[in-house]
Amino acid sequence: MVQTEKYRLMVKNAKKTWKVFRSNRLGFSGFIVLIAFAFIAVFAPWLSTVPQPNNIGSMEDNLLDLGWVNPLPPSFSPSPYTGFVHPLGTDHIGRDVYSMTLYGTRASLEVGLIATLISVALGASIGLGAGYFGRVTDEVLMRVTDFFLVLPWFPLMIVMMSILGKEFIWVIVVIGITGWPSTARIVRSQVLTIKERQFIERARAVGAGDGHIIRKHILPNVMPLMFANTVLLISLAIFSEAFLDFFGLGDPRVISWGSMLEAAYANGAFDNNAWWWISAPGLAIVLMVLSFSLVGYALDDVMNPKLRRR
Amino acid sequence: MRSFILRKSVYLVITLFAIIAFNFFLFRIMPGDPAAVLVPRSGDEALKALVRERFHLNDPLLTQLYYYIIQVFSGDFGVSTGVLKNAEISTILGPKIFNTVILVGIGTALAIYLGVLIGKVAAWRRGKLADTLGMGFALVFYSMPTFLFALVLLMVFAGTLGWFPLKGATSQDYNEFSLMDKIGDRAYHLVLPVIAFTLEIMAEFAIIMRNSLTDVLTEDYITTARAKGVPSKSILNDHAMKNALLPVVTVMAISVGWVLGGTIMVEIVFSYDGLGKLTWDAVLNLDYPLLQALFLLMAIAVLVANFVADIVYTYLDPRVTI
Repeated sequence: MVQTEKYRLMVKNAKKTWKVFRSNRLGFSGFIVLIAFAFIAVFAPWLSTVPQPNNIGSMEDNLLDLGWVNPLPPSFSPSPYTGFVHPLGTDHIGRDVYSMTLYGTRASLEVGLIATLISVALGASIGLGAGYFGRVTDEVLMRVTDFFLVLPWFPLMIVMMSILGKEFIWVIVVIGITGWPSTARIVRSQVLTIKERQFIERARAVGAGDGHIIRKHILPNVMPLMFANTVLLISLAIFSEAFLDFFGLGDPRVISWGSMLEAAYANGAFDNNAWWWISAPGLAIVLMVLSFSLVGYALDDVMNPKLRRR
Repeated sequence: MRSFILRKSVYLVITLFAIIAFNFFLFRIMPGDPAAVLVPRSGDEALKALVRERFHLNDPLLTQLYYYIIQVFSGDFGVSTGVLKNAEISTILGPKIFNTVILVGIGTALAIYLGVLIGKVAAWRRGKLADTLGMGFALVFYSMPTFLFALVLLMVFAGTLGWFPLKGATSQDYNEFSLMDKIGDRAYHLVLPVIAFTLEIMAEFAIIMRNSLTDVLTEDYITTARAKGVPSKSILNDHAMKNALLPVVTVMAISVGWVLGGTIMVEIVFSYDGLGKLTWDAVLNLDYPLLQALFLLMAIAVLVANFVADIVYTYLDPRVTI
């Protein structure tokens, strides 16, 4: 009985939040774009014109007599060499730009989501620990947080990547462990106000332990505030991944927008006006980061009722 | 007030030592013998032994840390192994710091001015066309990777149109110029990098400024001022802006790290001869001693900037010292 009541309340709350979120036009359009990106990431093999763009067999050869020279501008007629169609042209070694851009969605989303998960898990546990236990724990953990907050994280990422080596997993880890201090600060300040409330005291009076109070009472109240920050962290992570790839510190075997731009830059696309090679991955990065930012700001509006009334 | 500054100074010193120690251990986690990195492949064992001796590599790790701290405070950052073979790092850094400070100084000043202006107008005309345009502009640049925007600028204005130089901070025969020509030459080379840098970091300031000002404008004392018949201009400039600027100062302090990232990208794309490009060269050449010195330098810059911002903040908002 109590369970169904609880469930009904949850649904009601979710419906209300959803309604407020939907009324935010910018945030909602960002959300739609993100769904489209997720769809592309999942169904990339079926949507692309070239199944495995990085395989040697899928690359075009230079066929001078047939008028086929890489990078080839967009064309809708099948190539004489492999028979594939290249709606957004090819790059310098004959890989299909359209298909690579679709596959690049996967790398960006993977890095964005997993790295942010690492950041949030680290930040939330440190923030919870500092806020809840207070005193020396708080002091020590917050000094550590402040320390990582002042470390310039862009140079830090460069240094760590050049020390650790160019592996995809390291890209995720490095971005993940440079992003947590802001989450820790937000969580801590929220925990500080919540733990003084009466219902915590009541829970303790009836014999609830620290673990129970943190899981059942504090965490659910911290979540909404963390949520908006988390979405903004994702956009930062995607940004960082593009940056690392563009400067050749990413994994060369993984197709990503950053490494596509890197190849375009290194092979003279910017000097020879090979616009199709640059604009597809470039626009994709901007669109994805923009969408995550819009959703993040909209969520901030929804989760912070104080802001809503203005 | 004084005790607050004192406390902050103590934290500054502690953090400084923590950064030095962190910087030391960061470069020790890489696999392999540090001496092998410092000595070129062809180097013989005797040379390696010499290097081990000079950098105290035979001692325990904590003793090495002790020597490292002493070296840092005496301005000895060791010897470059890749970018400029065997040059003292402290002598390489000087001119690069100068170039970067010019770029960052002009760019940041412009970005703060423009960002605050755009945010202010957007908040004041909330929901109107100016707001939509200003925020749209800011959000697009906020979402655009700096290197991409810098590349497009380079391609259009330096490549296709040829209005500005393609690379470098100065012309090749810079040293033979007269003083006026030198300044002109630098300005000419700075235009594109400064534009790229400014627009990128301006966006964040504009967004924060707008949010903070919209918050302040809903407060009761603004309504009171309106009811008293204070002119709108004065409400905005004298009543609201003073309080609204506070969060912006905090964000500026925190974003110094972000600013450094921006310079690195801009300097690499425009081949602008500063610390960012040097960092890049160090990465390409696996010049770890140089990278270590650069990272330390940047971390200290951010630390000092945060310290200054903390002090400035207490003058703007005396409540924080209580």
